[in-house]
Amino acid sequence: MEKEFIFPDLGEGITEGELIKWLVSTGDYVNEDQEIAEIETDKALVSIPSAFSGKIKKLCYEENQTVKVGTALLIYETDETSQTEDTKSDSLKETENTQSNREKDPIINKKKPQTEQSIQNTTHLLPLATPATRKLARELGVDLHSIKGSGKDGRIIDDDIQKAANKTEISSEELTEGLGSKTKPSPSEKASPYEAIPLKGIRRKIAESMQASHQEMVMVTHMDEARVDKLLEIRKEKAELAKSRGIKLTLLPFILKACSIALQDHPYLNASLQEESIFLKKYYHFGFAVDTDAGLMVPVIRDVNKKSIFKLAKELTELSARARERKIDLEELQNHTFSITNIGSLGGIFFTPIIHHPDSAILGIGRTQQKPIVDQNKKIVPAYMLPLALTFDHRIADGATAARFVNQVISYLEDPDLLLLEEGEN
Amino acid sequence: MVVGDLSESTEVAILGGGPGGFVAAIRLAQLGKDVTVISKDPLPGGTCLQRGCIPSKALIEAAKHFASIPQLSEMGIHTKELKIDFSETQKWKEKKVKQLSEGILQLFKQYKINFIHAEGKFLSTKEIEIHSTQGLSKLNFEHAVIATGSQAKELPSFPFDKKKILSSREILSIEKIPQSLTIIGGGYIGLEIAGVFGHLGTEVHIIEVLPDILPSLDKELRQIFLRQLKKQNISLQVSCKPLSYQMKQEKILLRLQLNDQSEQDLESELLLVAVGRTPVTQGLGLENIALKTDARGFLKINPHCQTEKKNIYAIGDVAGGMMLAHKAFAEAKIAAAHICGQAAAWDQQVPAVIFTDPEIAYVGLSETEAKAKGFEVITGMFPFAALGRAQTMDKTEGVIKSIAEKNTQRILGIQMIGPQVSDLISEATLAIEMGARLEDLELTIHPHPTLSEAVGESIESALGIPIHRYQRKKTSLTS
Repeated sequence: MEKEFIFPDLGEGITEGELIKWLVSTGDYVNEDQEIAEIETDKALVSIPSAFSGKIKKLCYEENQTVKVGTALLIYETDETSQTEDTKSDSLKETENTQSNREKDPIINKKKPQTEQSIQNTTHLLPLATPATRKLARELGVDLHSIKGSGKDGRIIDDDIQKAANKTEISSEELTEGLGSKTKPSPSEKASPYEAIPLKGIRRKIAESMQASHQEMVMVTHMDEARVDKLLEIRKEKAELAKSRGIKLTLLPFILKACSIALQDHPYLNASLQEESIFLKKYYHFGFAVDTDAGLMVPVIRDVNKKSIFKLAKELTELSARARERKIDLEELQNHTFSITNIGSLGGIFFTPIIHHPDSAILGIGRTQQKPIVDQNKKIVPAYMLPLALTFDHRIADGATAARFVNQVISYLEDPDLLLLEEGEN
Repeated sequence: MVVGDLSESTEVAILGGGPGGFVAAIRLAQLGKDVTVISKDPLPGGTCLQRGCIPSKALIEAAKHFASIPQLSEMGIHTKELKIDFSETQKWKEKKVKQLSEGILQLFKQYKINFIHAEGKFLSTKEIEIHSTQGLSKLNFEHAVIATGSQAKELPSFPFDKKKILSSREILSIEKIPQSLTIIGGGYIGLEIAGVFGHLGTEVHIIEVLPDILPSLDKELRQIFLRQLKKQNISLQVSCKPLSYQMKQEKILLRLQLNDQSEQDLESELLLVAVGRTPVTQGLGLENIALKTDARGFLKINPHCQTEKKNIYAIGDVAGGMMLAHKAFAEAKIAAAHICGQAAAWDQQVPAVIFTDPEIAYVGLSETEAKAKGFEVITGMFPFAALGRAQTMDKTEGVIKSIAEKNTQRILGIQMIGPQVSDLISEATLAIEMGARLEDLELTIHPHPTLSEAVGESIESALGIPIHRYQRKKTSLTS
């Protein structure tokens, strides 16, 4: 008689998974709870235990195929039919096992239940290695099934284990974050549950820059909100005018402008620390973060303090378009003094941006949302609030500096007329 | 420490003082841990030593000697009166058991292992409640090992009354040799006890529900065993279902259903129910540590013998698998090493040994199992009758069969039936653990004249070149 093993519902709304590896093969006798396959779902790599015992007649999927919940994963030949001498004896064992004579379990197959990934492939023989060598493998974390021994018929000797252990150490360094050496895919595995992407190009640049900032700087993030009802009104009023000039007006140019003015009063946030000196910069070149297919790019707008809101808006649009098309020049990415990163279009409120090396501060902008606030008349009113998160380098500036700077930026954003009044100072 | 003396906390608490518990305790102590063993029995040793392997082996040995005496006449040894005082046999057996238990207790003292005669119950994953004759107390632990073993399985229709319906525990202590004995269950416990009383002159009947016994043995060996049973006046009824019983004077009358559905009565003085063993987990407070057992009551463990609670280990019968003391020994050592941070994990072969007459032992795969797994095999077989040592011992029944993978000649399994094969199996186990090829054993010198030569000869037989047996070229005995 045949019996299907249905790929079970693993919960958490998972409907399918990729069959990474069969742990058994056709003709194997499988015990209840013995692990039969490794399947990777959206959530995790899981080992599927058999629901019952029997001899495997057919595997319904091949490795790397997608398995749907509720479909047959494999087909067993159950005990009732076993006519041949061989299977008959198997069936006897199983019946005995469940009934009375557990003592007489055969040796290799009838293992104790194993909840973790078994070090022994229970359906085949032990790897060809002596007990002492197998112990060495355990100690060095080498999976005997993943290496081919150098001896006759693949016998694994101590040297093979040592070599495999050394290899694991080297290649784990090359791996990207998150893949530990233990779960590292070995080259001999047919279907690896991971894909190794070489770190190169923009990704490498991002990694280096982030690493430099993270290692060198002492970063603190200061957070506050600006009420931007007025600013939104102005933007609405001037949207038509902007459009007539081919400009898409967002809040970002206003924020750039506000920062460029406030930075003039807080030069330590428009600075860099190099070779034991703090360089206060008298020019205001802002990097702004653009999400491209290749990863994060930070084109730079020069002399923000000297440009009008419309001009800034236009440059923002042009530079980000060229960044996305990868048509930007290297110079256009260099020589920044301060940066702005705007995650608001995607959502999110406060976050902790990493400073664009070697600047001393970066302003992170979250999504503007309507919120209930208490106004001067102690009334709860709806207001559009813009979240601001300023990360600064505490080696160069202090918390008070950051707070004062952000307060000033907020004052401009809440009362955009001030922008007009203050702009002429430079 | 003195028995009963209680420390409030211990590094490792072990529930059970049997083969799992006492071995884990000693190994942990060797590795520098402070260990407390909580045992329901007043002495360590567990089922194996108190009422299982050891007492049964003592009785088996006595019975074997008794039965061999008449056969000695061929050697010119004649006795006038053959007599056995079974109560004396029992006293001798008890003395041996006591000696061994006290030996373990002595080791505990030397290793400074705290031994408590009490029942232990988990309160949490850090604390055990100890219930002894001195009252209740609590013990904190860092790690715990559950080694509470198993007990004889009871059949609902044949409940143990400890007078006429016995488990293996009671039958090993009876004072009088019964005239007749019926055994339900043809597993190794049933077969070993059948052997004891068969030798002592009891009329023995074995009732087995399944159509065959010893399924892990290849059929050539099984047939040899079945022939021997007949010679020892032990009847074996397979595919036979015990239905009910009634007491008839001092006898027990068993109603049986045979394979053809016909029914039959069987009368005997005693009934032994030996249909397997169930794990002991009741009263351990598993609910307090959220540990569940599987459908059959066993605790689930990983290759390090850890349960789902990482600081709690389970070993031996309570963890399922082969319910053999040496499996518990091996798990105890793994658990102890793993608790001490060593890279220990289960990856071994468990040899099986059955102390019937002749003895049976096997390790690795049978030919049937190997073929079922898709191996192309070569086999070799050698009979003890062709061996000088076996002839001089007058123990010529039995064979050794070797099974190897054809291409690589790697030894897959060795099966034995014959004199003292319980001692011969270790060479086979070592061969499999070492991944030995046939030639490795063939080129190992086996001393002459010994029974171990049969191992070497069976290997040579697989290679087609046994010395003490004519074998035609290129024929495998079993093809």
